[in-house]
Amino acid sequence: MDTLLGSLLAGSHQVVLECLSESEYSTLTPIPEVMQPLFDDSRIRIEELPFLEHFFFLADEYWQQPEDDSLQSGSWVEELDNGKELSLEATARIVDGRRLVVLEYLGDRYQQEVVRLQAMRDKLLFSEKLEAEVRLRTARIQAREARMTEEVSEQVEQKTAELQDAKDKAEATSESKTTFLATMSHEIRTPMNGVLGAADMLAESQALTDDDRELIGIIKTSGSLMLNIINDILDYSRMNSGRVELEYRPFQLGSMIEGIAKVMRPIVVQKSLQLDVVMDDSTRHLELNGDDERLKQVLVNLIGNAAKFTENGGVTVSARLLARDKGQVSVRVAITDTGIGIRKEAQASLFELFTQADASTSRKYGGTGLGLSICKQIVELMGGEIGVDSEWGQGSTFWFELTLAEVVRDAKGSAQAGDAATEDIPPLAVLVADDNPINQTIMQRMLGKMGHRVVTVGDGSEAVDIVQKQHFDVIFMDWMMPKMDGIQATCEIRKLPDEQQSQIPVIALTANSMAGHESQCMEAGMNTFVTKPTTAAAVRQALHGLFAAEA
Amino acid sequence: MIRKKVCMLGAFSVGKTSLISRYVKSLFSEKYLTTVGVKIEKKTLELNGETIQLMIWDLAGEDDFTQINMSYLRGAAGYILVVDPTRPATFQVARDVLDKVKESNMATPTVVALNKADLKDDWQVDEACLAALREQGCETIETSAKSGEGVEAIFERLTLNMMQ
Repeated sequence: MDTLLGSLLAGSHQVVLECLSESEYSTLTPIPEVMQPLFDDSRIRIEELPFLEHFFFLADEYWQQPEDDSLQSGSWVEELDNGKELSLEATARIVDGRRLVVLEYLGDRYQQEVVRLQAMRDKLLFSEKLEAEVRLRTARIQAREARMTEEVSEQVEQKTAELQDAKDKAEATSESKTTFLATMSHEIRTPMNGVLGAADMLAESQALTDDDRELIGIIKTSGSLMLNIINDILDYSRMNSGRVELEYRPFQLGSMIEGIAKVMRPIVVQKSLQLDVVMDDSTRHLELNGDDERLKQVLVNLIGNAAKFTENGGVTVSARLLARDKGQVSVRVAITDTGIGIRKEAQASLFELFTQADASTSRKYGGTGLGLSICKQIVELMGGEIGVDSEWGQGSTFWFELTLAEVVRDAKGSAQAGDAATEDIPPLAVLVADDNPINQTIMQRMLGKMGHRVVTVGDGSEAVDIVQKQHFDVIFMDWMMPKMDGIQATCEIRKLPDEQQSQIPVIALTANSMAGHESQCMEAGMNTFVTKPTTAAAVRQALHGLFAAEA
Repeated sequence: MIRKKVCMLGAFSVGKTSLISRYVKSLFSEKYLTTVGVKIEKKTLELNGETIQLMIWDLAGEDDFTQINMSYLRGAAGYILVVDPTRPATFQVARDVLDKVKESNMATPTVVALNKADLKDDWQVDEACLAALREQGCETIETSAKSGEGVEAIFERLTLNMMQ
């Protein structure tokens, strides 16, 4: 017996079987006790051991064609009649021409393999479950987020639709209201003109008693008051629908204020009050370019209010120069009274439409509540600010601040805004880019009067498009516009390949008059800078700077 | 009596041993005990007037360390391919095993067990893999070794398929 066979026979958990014929095996070694249940005496119970039967079948093939040293079965488990399990492994070999199968009981080795594999798979399962849990939770979070997003989107859409609907209704209502007010005011004004005209003609009659004249006076006074109210309503309607246009012309600030004081003084004095005008000479002689008629309307309203709510003391109109820069001056006009004053909580809404300090005030002093709202709209239309400082029982100061172009008189005494010359500028093709239709109209008229041809567009991108289709000598470019702002539009124009188009002078036309805005315009490639509210003088000055030398 | 060899295939820990235990012994244990090598269980059933003994080969599950020994499949009359849908990766393992079986020319009737039906809330079915398995002619039956749902049905369905 050779060494290998000897070593095979030496195992205490092994039994060596020799294949005698197909699936017929005899034992060559003693059967270990643990493996006794697999045998009937020395004959293996093959019909009850399907795995071994399968292995013997494979072994029969192996004996025919042994390609390897041995044929391994791999481990398997047999469950015995007593419920115990037997872990086994079989190996087929040919030794010295004899076909041998070594059947081995694995015992602890099998258990060790189970423990080793179990530990590895437990780890794999743990990490797999962890990943699955993360995936599951992520999917749930994503699903929840998607649901929430969908819900929020639906709510936003619904709310947007509701708001749009409400806005449409409000706009329709507002438009109807404005139209109604304008129509009614006009319809009342027409017969009122008849009443007042007839009263005037009646007053000229010779055959009137003193009582008659007193009654006619009452008709005329009452009629005039009613006309003022109607005019206020018409003004409100026009402003509400954006139909008010400012007319700029030179006026002297001092003269204008004194003139109004003169007109208003009889009304104030009638209440035994005093009306004073306070301003220094430099302010008094300021000559400005603006809509003085609208300013007078504001002053009449504010002085009238001051007198109305003051029982003792008086009313003071003061004006002072706040700043002067590049042909523009800022002024503050204040109307101070010694009247009843306004409670803090009422001040915020005082300039809102149809608002008075309180209901008792309205009953006692009358008024439509339109006056201050109109004042605010006029001042803001001019680019200014209006406000009130007041203490209850301590009187009030209503004020407004405006920045207007200063008019400079030349040696001949003719008015010029700033230092701009007018006559030496040739007729120009001007493009105005501004999204505000009122501003477009003002610029169109202003430049038209100067003899220039004007085209208007509503945003920066339209400006960039049109300069590539039409020739323009200069562009007035608003800053804040939808789609594309003036800064970006200027940058785009400066990048155009056609030099004639890319070099068109651009004048910034903007209400952004804060420090740094001018430099931003210049950095974008603009040539000069005009602040709103724009005056003819400022426009002329800007054009003069660009074109006078060429003329 | 007709004897038929059935092999349980699939990834590790999908419940192959538990399905056999439920079917043969009506037992279920929550504890996971990995199978090493092979264990064969027998079950006799009557079907269409025939007595059939199923020799059910419980093979160690597939993972990166243990690959199926194809020689174990010799003589098999049918396969139950077990998937654990709470672990989507086991769908791909099932698909790979089926491909390997087909490549070895050992294809026989195969039924796919979508096991752990008692945890259906946690299922993450890999629909693409499932569709691919069905395209290869595999029936699918939802099973739960824990509740017994579908266990008899899947063995009987496979037996019917094997007898045809």
